[in-house]
Amino acid sequence: MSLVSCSQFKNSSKMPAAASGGLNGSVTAAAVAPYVRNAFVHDPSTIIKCKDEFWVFTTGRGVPSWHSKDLANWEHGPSVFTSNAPPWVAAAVPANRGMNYWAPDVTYVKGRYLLYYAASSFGKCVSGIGLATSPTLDPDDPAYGWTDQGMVFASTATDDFNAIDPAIFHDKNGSLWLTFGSFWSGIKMIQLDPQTGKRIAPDSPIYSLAHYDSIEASYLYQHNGYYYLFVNWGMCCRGTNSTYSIHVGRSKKVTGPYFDRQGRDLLYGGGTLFLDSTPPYIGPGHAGIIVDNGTNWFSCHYEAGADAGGFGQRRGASSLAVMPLRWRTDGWPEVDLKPAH
Amino acid sequence: MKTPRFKFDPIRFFVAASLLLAASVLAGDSTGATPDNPAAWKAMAEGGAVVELVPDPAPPLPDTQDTNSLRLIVRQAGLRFGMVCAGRVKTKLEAGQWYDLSFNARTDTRKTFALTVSLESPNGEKVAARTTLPEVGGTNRAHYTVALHIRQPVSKYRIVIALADTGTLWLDDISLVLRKTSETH
Repeated sequence: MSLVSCSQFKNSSKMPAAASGGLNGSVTAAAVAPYVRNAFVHDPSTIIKCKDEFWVFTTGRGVPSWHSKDLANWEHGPSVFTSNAPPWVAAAVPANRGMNYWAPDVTYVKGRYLLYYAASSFGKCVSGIGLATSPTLDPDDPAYGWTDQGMVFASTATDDFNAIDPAIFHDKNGSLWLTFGSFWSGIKMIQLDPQTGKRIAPDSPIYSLAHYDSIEASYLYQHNGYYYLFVNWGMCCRGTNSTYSIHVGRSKKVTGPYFDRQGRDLLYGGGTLFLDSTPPYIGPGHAGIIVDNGTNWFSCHYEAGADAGGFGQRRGASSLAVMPLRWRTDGWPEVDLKPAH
Repeated sequence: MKTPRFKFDPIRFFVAASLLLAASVLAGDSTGATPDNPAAWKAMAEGGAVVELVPDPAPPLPDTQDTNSLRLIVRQAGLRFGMVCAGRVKTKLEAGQWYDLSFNARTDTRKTFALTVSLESPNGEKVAARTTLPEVGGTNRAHYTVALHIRQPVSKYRIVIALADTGTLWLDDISLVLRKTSETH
């Protein structure tokens, strides 16, 4: 195994979020409320635009999708897999059941949409990340149709990482990267071949980017000469008891090391608090950024997000949030909840 | 048919374990304090945590005769909390090595814990390897194996098993084994 650490592994004692110099200390539930949307999703992908619609893909049977014309009002779309499970799943992840795939991510490279998804089972690191491609996301387009391209990367019981929560990053220099990881020894990254969407070489390096006792849901974004690495700390999937929060660090190199605003390496437990729970909106997770008409939007889900007034019967459901994002003068991102959208 | 069972005597157990540990230390021999020996483990409570660690006379499950389980009780969370084994002080960890730490665990309820295993220098300042399992526990005693990849060499080390929440976890049959072959991904 060629597992590359970008720097020496030091102690990373658990640090309370309050000590990490949060970027959004003034966020309140009232400010968040207008940006929690009527898309009941868990582990949303980066939002991506195809023609005049925005699309987001989520955890669920066959990889469900939602679409919107304005980022505010969302409707169900088709799932990526509708009939048979991709053949590689049964061999690589036999415990996976019901075509239930986790935490997809999507990008557009060389004339086709690349969608990465994970097959796994709770609490295990026997997992795999697969790739499906389609020329378009518009189901009414004759060219529409997902083709599974097979497994991209896997982890086994003897690995110290978990190949789930894929996040695809297309560098402005043309290179393509895949970050992934959940618990175990943290967030990893491999380079992909932009032509195939697969690992650039079978023995290419596996970079270690971030570690914390409970870490997952990584996301990379490039802005103004920096690479920004968003990660989730805490536990998901416990409704109002979820402890998810989003943290961020940045680096001049895509391979790291990534440092938080106080100069702590994310590989050693660093990570500036970016977004925390604001009850009743609990457990923000799975960061994404989309720029549309010059406006930066930050997307995530809230583990318990839907409120009674907005969504009736879906009170407490995991929900998509899409919030304005701005870049501070010191170069760090923050959600910008004024004016309301 | 009822199987005859070894009767656990906690007083004799503690005396024997203490003598064994003391003899090991005096002899400069760490073999008596390997992770499978409950006496090698101590409670770890940093930053306000309140932790108890007691050898449990009750077998982990009614149909087992193993009476070496440890009951780890975290009454109050803090900066870092769990249990530590400082016995294997003479084994050097080399960068690139892989170790597998195995154990059985259960809880009284369906509650599960995120559990972090670290191999680190005796004072905790240098971490050679660290891995977190997201879900350990549940009422069925289950076997777990944690892969540990040594990133930073240390000449002496301790094993730390840390939890992320309050509650009670039973552990037994803890072992740390150097993996003989490495795999290429």
